Amino acid sequence: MDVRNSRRQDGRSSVITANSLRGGQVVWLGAGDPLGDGWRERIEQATPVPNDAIAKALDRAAAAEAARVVIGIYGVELDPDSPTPMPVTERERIRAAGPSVRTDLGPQACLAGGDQGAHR
Amino acid sequence: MSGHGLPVGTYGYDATDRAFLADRVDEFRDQVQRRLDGALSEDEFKPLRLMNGLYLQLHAYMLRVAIPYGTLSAIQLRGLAAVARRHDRGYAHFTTRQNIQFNWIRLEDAADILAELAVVDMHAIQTSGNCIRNVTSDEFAGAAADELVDPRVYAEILRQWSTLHPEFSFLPRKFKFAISGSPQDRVAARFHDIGIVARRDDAGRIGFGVHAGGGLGRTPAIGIPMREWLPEEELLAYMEAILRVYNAHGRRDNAYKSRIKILVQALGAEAFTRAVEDEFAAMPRHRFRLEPKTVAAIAARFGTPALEAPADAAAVLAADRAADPAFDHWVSTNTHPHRDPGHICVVLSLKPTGGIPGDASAAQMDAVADLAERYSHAEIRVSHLQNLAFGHVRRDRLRSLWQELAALGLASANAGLIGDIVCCPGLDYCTLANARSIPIAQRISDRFADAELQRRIGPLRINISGCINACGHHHAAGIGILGVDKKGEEFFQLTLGGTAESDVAIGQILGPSLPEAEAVVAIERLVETYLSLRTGEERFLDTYRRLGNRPFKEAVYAAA
Amino acid sequence: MLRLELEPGASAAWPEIADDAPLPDGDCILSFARLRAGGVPDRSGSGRLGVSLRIDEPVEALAGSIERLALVLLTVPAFRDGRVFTQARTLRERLDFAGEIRVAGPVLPDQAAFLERCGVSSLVLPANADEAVWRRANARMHTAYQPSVRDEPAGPGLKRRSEAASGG
Repeated sequence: MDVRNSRRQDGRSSVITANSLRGGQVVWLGAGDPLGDGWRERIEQATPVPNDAIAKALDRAAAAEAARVVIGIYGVELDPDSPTPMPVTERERIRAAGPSVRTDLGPQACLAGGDQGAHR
Repeated sequence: MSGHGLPVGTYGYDATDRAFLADRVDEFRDQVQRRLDGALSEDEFKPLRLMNGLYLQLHAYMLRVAIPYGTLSAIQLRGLAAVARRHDRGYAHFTTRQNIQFNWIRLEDAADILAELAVVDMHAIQTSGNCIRNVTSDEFAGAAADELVDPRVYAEILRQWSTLHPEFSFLPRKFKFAISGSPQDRVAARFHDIGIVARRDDAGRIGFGVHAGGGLGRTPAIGIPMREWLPEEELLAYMEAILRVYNAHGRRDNAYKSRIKILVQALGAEAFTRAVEDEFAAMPRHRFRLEPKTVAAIAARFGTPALEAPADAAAVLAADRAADPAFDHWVSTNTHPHRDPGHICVVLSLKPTGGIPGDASAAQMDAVADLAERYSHAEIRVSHLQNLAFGHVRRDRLRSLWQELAALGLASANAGLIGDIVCCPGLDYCTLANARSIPIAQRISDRFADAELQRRIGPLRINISGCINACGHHHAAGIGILGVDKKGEEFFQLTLGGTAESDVAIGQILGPSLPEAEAVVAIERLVETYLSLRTGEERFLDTYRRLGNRPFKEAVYAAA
Repeated sequence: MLRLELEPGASAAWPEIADDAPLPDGDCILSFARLRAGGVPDRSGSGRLGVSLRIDEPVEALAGSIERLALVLLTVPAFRDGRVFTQARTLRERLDFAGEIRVAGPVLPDQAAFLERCGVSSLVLPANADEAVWRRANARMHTAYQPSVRDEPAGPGLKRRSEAASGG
């Protein structure tokens, strides 16, 4: 796990993220089975978890790594002032959106109808 | 063009080399399957995939493909373009170690991609992992007027020797070689784990100067001299001795202290050299003797260009330059003298104004392959400064090439100038990065877009790394920029006075790190200060050396 | 205990003897520390002797006693620790050790060929190892570019071993 994401403030929420083992793409844990369809490619589809419950939620999600569904599970704190799910760190904002220097690629491009490759 | 139908400038594979690659692809396919089946844990799989060039980065897997000593055939470059189209997002990134990276790879596709690369005699072997990495060399090898020995033959010998080396595939940490055959260091030899400079003695025999223990990263170090003259036949034996001492005694308890430079520092240069020489004296050197017939066999696998140019080629170029100032400027920055008076070496800038340093689209790669076939014996080179180069262009055809490059956006007249920024992928792609490095490179590039201003500033290298691992070689530049993380925000630390050339020096920190906008202003002030204080045609580096960092520090921090 | 033979005849189980235990009849393995403190015991007629080394113990120190040893057991602490390759190679090339080199500890099937080419004779496999996976991994590569401690015919260039050259 990235140490920059281990700082968490009380009263805020986090979402759980990883990369798909087979595809490598960034995934976020939403409603559904962590061993199956629970991992989504858009942070908007992630289920926020209060920070005081995130450790237990990460423990439960860890089975998905053992089952070789995803790799590198960790929690990402969200900005409480953002109307949409927005990580507090630049790194996670880039993971959620795609490269800031190539806005035609990654999830940010899907919003605009570009980057068909992301749906492969 | 070549005498034996072999590709010019690259080592021509034979049936055994191809059989080896096929085995290696099968092996990796099997390893991926064992990972997906659960027979291999991620912990066990990771070093195996890294030794096949496969990283897990921010957005996807990244595949780093080896471009041995930075040389490519047109067919190979088209093969890379095809991978970019078929398996990636239509582009790729040329790195500071002469390799190429694809950013959007799926693990499930990786073995197929390696199989496609093998069709054009390419691979990703040892482009990562704690092993001997791609050997880098001079982008003007085999062409430069100042060259004494063609380093590519020895780089290929080192490539073969280090490929799946049974003893040195699980080293304490990564291990990087660079080899030059010119007295003018264009490979940053003393910033490598082993840096080799090939030379000749008075009788014309080939030997090597050897440095070890150099490197950038967290602890920048200049390599120590090991041998002034290592005879050709002892090259591999001596490399074995250095690697064996490192493998046995390098630290394995702390990744930050596990490079050979730390071992050299811990033992001291004298004791380290003695340990290597003792090992060298005791080993069965006859088993590692590099026979002249072996050197000849490898050299014979390289096609050589038939250099034929009209007698007036140089005169035509001189007239073309006189007729077109824009062309003349480009020639003065983006070419290098060739050993043949009718030819010239050319740098194809991958640093357009405001662009992403080192990125090239699949369309550009295909177009460069076409140009290489028409202008430079179907051969392309990649420089560690993230540009491409052509080795053997006829002088009388240079203007025509320049016009075609301009149409592709590859004719920025900035090689070696402030617009020729070296930059790692940074936090936009890399999981290790602390800050984005590309956006600040783009802002600086935009700020100094004026070609006239760039020429007035003269030779000035800006290198940018997004973290302390220093893939952007920030310590090796006149102005270095290091991205740091301050409580989740991106800051940039400036270093001044570094160079990787023959007058090698490590850049020194100027002062406290700055937010991005302020860092760009600081670069402007550094340049203004230099322009106001330099005498005559003095380079930035020389002004800095003459005056020290005080006037520069005042310019950046006094007003703040 | 499953073992992978990398060369024929390297197979028998050898008991490792605690440093304070008397030597039994028959082949046995002593620790490097015991050997270093007490020298090589006289085994005339009662079995052969092996020595067990940790990864940080110098094989060069066996130089004076190597002719009286029949087996060297090298134990790897982690598969990433590549010192074992240098230990094995040093035993073969500098000490001219002709006996069995056995490696134990967490090595990967993908490392077996490297170990073989550094002179290792046999591997003690992890519990539940699938020997077929190991054999397949070890037979994967048919070409090598460097000399190994085994006598391999030199090919063109640097290539030392290939299907053609070895008749395999």
